Parts: sequence; structure tokens; C-alpha cells
Amino acid sequence: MTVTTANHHMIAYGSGQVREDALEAITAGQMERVDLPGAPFAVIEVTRTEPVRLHSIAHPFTLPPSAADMRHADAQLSFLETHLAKLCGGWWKPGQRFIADYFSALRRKVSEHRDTLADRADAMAGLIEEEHWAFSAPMPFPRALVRPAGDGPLRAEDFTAADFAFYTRDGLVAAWIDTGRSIMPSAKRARARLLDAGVICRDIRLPPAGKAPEKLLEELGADFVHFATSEPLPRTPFRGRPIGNPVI
Amino acid sequence: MHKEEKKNINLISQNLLLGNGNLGEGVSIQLAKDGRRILWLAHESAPKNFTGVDVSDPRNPKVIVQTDLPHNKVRSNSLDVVGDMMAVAYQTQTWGDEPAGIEIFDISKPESPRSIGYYDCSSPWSRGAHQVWFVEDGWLTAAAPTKDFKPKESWDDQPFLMLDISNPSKPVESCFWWYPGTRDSDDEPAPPRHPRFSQGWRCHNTNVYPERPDRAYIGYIDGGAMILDISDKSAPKLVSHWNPHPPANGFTHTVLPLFDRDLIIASDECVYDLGEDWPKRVWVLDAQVENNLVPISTLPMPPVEEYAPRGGRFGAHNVHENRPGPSFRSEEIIIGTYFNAGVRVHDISNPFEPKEIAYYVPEAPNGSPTGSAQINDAYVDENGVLYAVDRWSGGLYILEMEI
Repeated sequence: MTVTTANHHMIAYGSGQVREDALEAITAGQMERVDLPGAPFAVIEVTRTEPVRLHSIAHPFTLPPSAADMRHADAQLSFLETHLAKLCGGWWKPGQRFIADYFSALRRKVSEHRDTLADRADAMAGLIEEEHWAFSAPMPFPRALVRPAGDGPLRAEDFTAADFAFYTRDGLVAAWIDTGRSIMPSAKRARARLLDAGVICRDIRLPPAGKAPEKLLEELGADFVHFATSEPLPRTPFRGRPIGNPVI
Repeated sequence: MHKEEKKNINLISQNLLLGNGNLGEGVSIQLAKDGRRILWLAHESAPKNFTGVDVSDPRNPKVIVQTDLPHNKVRSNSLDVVGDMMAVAYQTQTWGDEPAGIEIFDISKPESPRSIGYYDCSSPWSRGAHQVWFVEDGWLTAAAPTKDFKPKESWDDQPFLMLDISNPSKPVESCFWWYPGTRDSDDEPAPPRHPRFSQGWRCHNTNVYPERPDRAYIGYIDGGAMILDISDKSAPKLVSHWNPHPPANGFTHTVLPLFDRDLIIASDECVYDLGEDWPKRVWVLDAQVENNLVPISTLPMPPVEEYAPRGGRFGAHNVHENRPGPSFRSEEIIIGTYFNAGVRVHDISNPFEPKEIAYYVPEAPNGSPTGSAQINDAYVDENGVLYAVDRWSGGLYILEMEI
């Protein structure tokens, strides 16, 4: 499928910048040059009706996991958590805390439904574990630079910064952690543009440190609360795959 | 004379403050009960004490009150406002003079500030208070001695002082700390003097934030940046000390913690004209390990070859301090004052590579003895309106950032 600005949302994330060469590659249809380690990039079709989940994307790891260490779902989950925390950058504690709380909440949610999920996993003769369902949760794109689908050229200056982006059944979500910081006028104008483009813009209140991270999922919405039961079978992003393609 | 220079900052208005445009390091906003926004400004030197300006319409600021000092050998220099109360620091030119202390005012009627309390720290060894930090009801901190503090070296005369002002008519010392070796009775030797620009081991800014009420972040002039553990007010402890002087040229002014990023911004004040004490920098410190601060970059400044000859001071001074109240708060945008290089704004999203994103340098104000602007301090309100002040005659510049 040809990627077009009109039909695809785009999210550069984890590096604080939009790579010009990624935009050139998209324009040239060379999608294998878009989603790269250190500067990941997701392209989401506007017609998508399912959330973009943790297992939906290729995750171009800078430090690839060793297969031997990735045999079990809990290790895979921890690896992915560390990877996403690194994409928050080294100087952003609220972002890192969001990732820690988010994964803590996912683990608790899986534990909450362990019996039901174990029954489903039994049918797969040990190929899957209950923790694999955690990968069904929506993918948080840290340090997101978002370009919602819309006509026009593909330019770096048209991407808007958000602390995190998600794609849920309700559509593209841009989120900011509420830390009491001031919002510059340019950022206010950028948020207004996102709203005009149909992006859901919201603030995230982190629960008090060390307390009730599951509240975070409730605050984020239904796709976050029901991820463990909304997919009949789980998948892992650590499966073997050919060449990466960021189109989701 | 150089013309106004600007990038991504526009001048909304300027006010010369009735011909008393010499402002110090105290800029604070009061949200008055009647809905007005009153900007309170400390003067750098006599004859004026402080000025209140109605900035409800930033395009048309109006002086509503201006007060006088008792004589010309004292200056106020620093003030801070919480609610309807204002604290003002008094520093004398010479040791032993008066008034040397901190005065508390009721400003509920902004046109008529009423003195309601005074902390006297005058003594034969004291010049009084250089700075106050007053951001919450009930307490303040200051660069000031107690009456009985006698330093070994005369310039080490302003330690860290915290006052309980829950009863503002009777301020009470609640925490007091000095660097070991600076008090006359200390067994330790006095710390070494700076070989070229000795200005003393004493406090400049004494910031304590509600996010970390157990910590004081202090600029200790030639002693560098220090963090005090003040959880036990009766026994404050030095938990971190970073001092680049020498080789750096002294005068650490502000230590600004960025709590969400484990970073600290530390500024060194330029105190000599024509670039003599260049470079005076704003440092970015890695504070992930509190007791081992590590410099990772400095904020870029324009070329010394171009700016030093313009006259007056050129180099860093203060930064906007993210204080509570009607104040801009950011951990990525650092707004600082650089004397003849005006007010400058840096983006430290990547703290290893800070970028200058905006600046405003007014042309030299009439009556300035340096022949250049000398932007001394800046405060940014919660709406992003930037108030910058000139040290000699330019008064108040109200600016709008386009960032």
C-alpha cells in the first residue's frame, strides 16, 4: 500500500526529532528505511479500527535482545519496558515513571485475570504464557512527534510534540503528563492544531509514587483497562520477522 | 550606541519608573484581591527602596507606589511576595551600619505598603541581608547573618538563614548555617580565597522549593554551588558541594534545581566591567547523584570580543527561578540575564547541547553610565510575560516571548 499524508498518521518517537531522511524514504516508498534503531517511526492507517498494541510494531531495538534471554514472557516484558524507558531519554523522570507505572499496571492486570488467561493458554500447549497478554495493551509512543493524517506535504515542521502518543479505538491520542509546568504559547497553538485535526488531546495525572498504578489504566480509558480480555490469543513483539515495516 | 537586538522576543512596553530606573535582583508579582496584578521591584541602590507597578495591562504599566530608603548607604536589592505580604532585604555599604536586616510589609493595599515586622541582623561584622527567598506562607530564607555571627574574613558575612515568620511581627531564626571555617570561632581554617576575583564565601541565592522542603539550593559566591539538608532545622548538613572556582572566576549566584530531570542550573554572576572576569557562565549540572554534581554543559553566549567592549558588565547573572505562585515553570526553557547581552532564552531539552532560542537586548537607556543596557534580573509570569529590569536607568522592560 502506498503511504500518503492524507491516509496515514505518522509518529516519530523516542528521539525528540523527526529525521528528514525518514520523510524522504516515506515519499520514495522505501519503507524499510523509515523505522530505525535510535529513531523509531510509526505509520498508522487512518482506517485502522483496532488499537496499536505493544505487539503491533517492530520495535527497532538499538541493543537487540539475546534469544536465550527472551524465552519467557516476563523477560520479554521487562526488556520492552527498559527499551521504552530509554526512549524517554535520560533526563525525563516523569516519562520514565509513566513507563514504570504503565508496565506495573499491565502486570497487575494480567495477574487479576490470571485464571481466565491460564485456561486460554492451556489450549496452546505451553506455547504462550499469561504474561504474553500484556503485549495486547496499547503502545505508548514516548517523546512523540505527531503528524495526524491530512493533505499537504510531508515536512518535519508539521509534527507536533507530545509526551506520549497512543492509537486506540477512538483514534489518535496525544498526551502530556501533568507536572505543573508552564505551556508556551507555541505549544498551545500546536495543541489547538492537533485538536482541529481530530486528535484527542489530554493530560495524564500520574498516581502518587508507588501507589495504585492500575489507576493509570482507568484514567487512560477502556482500551487500556480491557486489553487482557479483548484479544482471544496474545502475541509477542519478540517473534521472528523479516524486514521491518512501520506501516501498521 | 548599539540598537535594540532581538530574536523571538518582542518589547511590549517599557517604564522608566519615574526616573528611578536602577533595579536590583528582586522582581515578584502580587495578585491583588481587587484583581490587579502588581509587580514589585527592588532597587539596586538608593535613594529608592522598592516600586510597585500595576501591570494588569502589560502594554500600559503604571507606577502605583515608590518608597524611599532612610539614607544612601543602604540598598534593598532583593524582595519577594507571597499573597499580600512582601519581604525586603536591606544591605548596608559598610559593616556595622543600619538598617541591616529584613523587613516584612503588608501589601494588601498596594498603594500603601505597611511595615509589620523587622528582623535586625546588624552588628559590627554585618552588612545585613543581600537576598530573600519568600515563596510560601510562614517562612523565608535569606543571605544574612544573625546578630552574633562574626566571620573570620569580613566578606564571608552572609550565611544561610531561615526565619519563621508565622508571626510576621516577630521573625524567629529557625535554621542557620555557615560554611565550616568561615565563622570566627570555627576550628577549621577559612576556605581559600579566589586568587584573582576574591568576593567571599557567603550566600547569594538561598532557594528552598515546596517539592523538596528538606533541601536548600544555595549559590555560595566563591564557594560554588551547595545543597543543604535542612530536614532538621537545628542541624543543617551540607550534602553536596560543587565549586569550579578557580579556574572559574567565582561568584556563584543561583542554584536552580530541575526536579523532574535530575539537573541543576547554576549561574555565576559577572561583577566586573568590560569582560575583566569573563567567562561568567551558566552551568548545566548532572544531579542524578545528589552528592556528586557533574557539569555537562554551559549555556552558549554571544562572543565576548563583540560584547565586552560595549561597556558595563557582560556575562551571566540570574535565571528565572521557577518559584511557586504566579510564575512560569519550565525544566527545558531557561531564561537568564546577561547584563549588556540582555535577557536570553535557552532550550535545554538536550542538556548536553543547550541551544539559544531567543534574546532581547535593549539599546542603552538614557542616563546609563556604562553606555549599554545592563539587564540585571528577569521574572516570567504564569502567562509567559517576561519582566526584565535594567541595573542603572532603563527601568522595567515588559517582553513577550515568541517560543
